[in-house]
Amino acid sequence: MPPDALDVPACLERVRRQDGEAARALVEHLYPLVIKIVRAHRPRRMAEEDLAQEVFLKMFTRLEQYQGREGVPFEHWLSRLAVTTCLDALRAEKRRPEWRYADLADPEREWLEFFTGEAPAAAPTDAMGAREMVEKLISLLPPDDRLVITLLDLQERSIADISALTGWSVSLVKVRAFRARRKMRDHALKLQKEFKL
Amino acid sequence: MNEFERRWNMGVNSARGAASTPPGDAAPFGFATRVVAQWQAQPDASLAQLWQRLALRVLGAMAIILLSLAAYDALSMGGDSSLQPPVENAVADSAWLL
Repeated sequence: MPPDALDVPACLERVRRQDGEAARALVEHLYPLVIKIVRAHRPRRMAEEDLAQEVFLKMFTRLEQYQGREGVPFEHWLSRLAVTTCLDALRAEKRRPEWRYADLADPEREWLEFFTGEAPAAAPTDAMGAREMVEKLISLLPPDDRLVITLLDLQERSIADISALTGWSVSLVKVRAFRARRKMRDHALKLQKEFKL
Repeated sequence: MNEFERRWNMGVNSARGAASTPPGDAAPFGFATRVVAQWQAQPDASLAQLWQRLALRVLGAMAIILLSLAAYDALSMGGDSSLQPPVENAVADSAWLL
């Protein structure tokens, strides 16, 4: 059966009856959804497959919690579970990476200068450098801030969408995003300062 | 929007265009079988999690009750703090019987 043709509600009923074949079909069907979330939010030192496996195990053990939620597609419920699992993994990370100016490649340094206002208003052209620098600055943030900025800026999710995914209120999402950007600005300025020393 | 945010948004727009080609989205060979085997190997997991959740809630409720009783006790220890010998004696007798 092609993955897109899976009848999820029927499959869930079979999984609830401990049907292993249905459970395997469900995992294969939902893997692309889960791995996309995991890749965007996993801690640097954790393998994406391990985290995806954790999400699916939680899905099976908490399946009964989904039963009563009429009208909510299973994929939404699972997305939220995947996001909170990633957030827990990020919170469990012992320490965040520390970047030094010397660690940055030339295109990243150009973007750093641009972000801090040291460079003229015209943005550098190296998109890969932008991605590397943006990801480095995001990785310096605390887990909750990192999650919000990744969803909001890199994935272009709406505030309401993020609120639904995380369970945080709309105003909390806005405040977190505002504070996170301020923290990234401070980190960028600190990194740039190292160059001047 | 301040200057940093304006520049940050330009950087993020550029970064989005450079999204690295993700590895295949299909589950790796044997992944689903491994996950299902692990799930089936822990049949009591949901029960354990239910116990964990309920235990935490009960712990919270008990803490609130305990604090309320302590507060009530502290407030009711007014001017007359005389003991009540009959009650004390009954408790002491019961303790010996145990």
